[in-house]
Amino acid sequence: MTDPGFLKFDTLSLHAGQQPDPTTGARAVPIYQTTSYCFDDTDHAAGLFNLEVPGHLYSRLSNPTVAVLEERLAALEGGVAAICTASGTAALHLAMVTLMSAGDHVVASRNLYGGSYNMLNLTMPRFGITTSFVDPRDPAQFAAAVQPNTKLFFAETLGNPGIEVLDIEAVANEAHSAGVPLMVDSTFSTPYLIRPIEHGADIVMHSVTKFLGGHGIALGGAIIDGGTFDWEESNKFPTLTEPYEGYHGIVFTEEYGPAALGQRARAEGLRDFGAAMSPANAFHLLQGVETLPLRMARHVSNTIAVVEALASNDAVTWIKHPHSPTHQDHELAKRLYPKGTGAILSFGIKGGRPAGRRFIESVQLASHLANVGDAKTLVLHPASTTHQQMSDADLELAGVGQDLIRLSVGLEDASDIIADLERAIHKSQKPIA
Amino acid sequence: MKTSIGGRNVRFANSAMDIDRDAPGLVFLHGAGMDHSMWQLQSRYFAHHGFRSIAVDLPGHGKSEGPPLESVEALADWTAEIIDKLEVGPAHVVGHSLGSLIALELAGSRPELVRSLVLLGTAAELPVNDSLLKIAATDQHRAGQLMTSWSHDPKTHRGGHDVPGYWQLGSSIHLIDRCPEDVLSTDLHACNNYEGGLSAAERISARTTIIVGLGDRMSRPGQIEPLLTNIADVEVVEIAGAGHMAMIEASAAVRTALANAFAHGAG
Repeated sequence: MTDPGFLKFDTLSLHAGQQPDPTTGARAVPIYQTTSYCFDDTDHAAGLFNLEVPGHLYSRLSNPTVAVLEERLAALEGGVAAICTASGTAALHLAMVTLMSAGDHVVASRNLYGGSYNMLNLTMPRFGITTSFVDPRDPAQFAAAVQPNTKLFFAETLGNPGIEVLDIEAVANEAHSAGVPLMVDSTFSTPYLIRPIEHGADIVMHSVTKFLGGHGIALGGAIIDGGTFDWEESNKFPTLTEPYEGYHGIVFTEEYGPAALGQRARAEGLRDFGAAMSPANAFHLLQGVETLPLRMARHVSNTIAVVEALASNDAVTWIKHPHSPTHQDHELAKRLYPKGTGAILSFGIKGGRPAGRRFIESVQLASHLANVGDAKTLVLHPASTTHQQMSDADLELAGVGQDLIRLSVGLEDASDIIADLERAIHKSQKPIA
Repeated sequence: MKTSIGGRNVRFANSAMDIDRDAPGLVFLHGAGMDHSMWQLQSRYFAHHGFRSIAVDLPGHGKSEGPPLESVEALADWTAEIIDKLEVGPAHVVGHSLGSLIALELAGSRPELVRSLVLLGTAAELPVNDSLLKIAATDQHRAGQLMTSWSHDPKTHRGGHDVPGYWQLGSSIHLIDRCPEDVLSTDLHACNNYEGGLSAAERISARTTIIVGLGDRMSRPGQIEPLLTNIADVEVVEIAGAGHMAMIEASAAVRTALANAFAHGAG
């Protein structure tokens, strides 16, 4: 009687959101490569357009292949609904424009992916939405930055690239005290390592491009509506609690209850901003999600081996990964992440920026590119790529030193990854001829 | 939308439709630990198809002020007051699980308010497992998980919902989690203690439709037999691939069944 008997995580990774195709019997998720869908009659068409009946009418709003991925991600995160987008950046934008309007304000971690930081710091202010950046390790700073117009707290579960571990519950408590939701970017952790909604987050976003897809062949993003935040009680979100003329005066909270955010994000956000995921990409990303538990376990074990090898290398001056006992969040990570803290780490080597450059140019197995979460090991020098728009001062605040090398540990044999890194480190320490 | 009964606020959803006084009334009653939003895939449709559609939050649920009422009889009296207050009677009354017992009792005690009756996840009595009653009294979240698991067909546990991106099991759990701590326990005791189903059934004059999810493990399909024997004018609609939550698991089939029930019950 005490076990609810829900399907377990590994099973949901393979099955959630899909029934075998009723027409053909296809076991795999078909790619519904179509822009539009035939209506049964005019009443059916009118019902779809007015949200009276569920279904697909145009693939900018929804698509059967994309819907399988959406439902699967919602299941894996333990939310009520998910909306997939063209990229992770589009997911962040969709969440913001669904919840906020000109004049509103965000309190965000200062340790964000450079693209997210740029959107919040440079782009959204042009549309009247401003952000205060705070130290993600200090929940009190989130509270102190709250303004009367604050509508959202935003942080990464594992910061980029310093892997700062967010105390989700502590920051969520501050958000809820301020009457606003906490949204977390859980791209680095995936639901395999942590399910942020269970820790108090209200909205989860992903760049599905990364570990969820795992293969580096398709872009995609997602927001998962936790269904936990009481928009009506907060009374700060008119897009959800007041009549919307776009659908004959609909009030999304009144109509959909816990699923209000997801419904508005799709019915307005995808309709009007149009950053929809393609069905082909959804298919590719689903192939990755099917093996997420197996891959993440291997990513983590390889990362632990790499961290321990780097720690014993005399040329490595520092390592940032929560598995390392020297990491500031080591104890918090052990509590929140019993399965490990992912496969992204950063480190510095003796010789500063020139040695870092030589290291990057000396790796042979690892690929030098601007991505993470691939099955293959990737390396990057953020100061010259993803974070290049940031000033030196902002780089320091974001924990991105000039010598920082970011490593995304792949699924190769760990000994081959370590051998490649050690060979490149050795070369980086040789005097320039 | 809001109104009040007995000085306490009541929330109901009418899909933002101006009420046409000539249109037939339609009242949706939700089950234990739920709120009006469980009818979202039917209530909005009928609000835009010629009905004065009212999906209520029972006292203490959703945004209706508490406390929750402790008996099916009290809830039926409360529903009668709502129908009178909103002037939607005689109404088509649709109830699910606890809501079906309320509808049953209402149709027996106040037949003049009921134009037709539709019952989902129902039986003349809905006894609740002792273990579930105990868990609900101390750990509502756990009880909500157990109910969510049992109230959905195994097919639904894998998903593939009509609403793109919607994860029904998560929605059910979070909906129950939103209830104040004593609500689910109070609801389950109200179900467990109700013994007036057969008596009410004998007094029902309205055309009645019972919608059965063939995978229902909360109120098993065979349990409706006493109702079939005692209700004068009754029809059964069976839906495969749905459990106790047929209105969400098989939303189109339930919409069709409701439309047929309202058409037959119009006279």
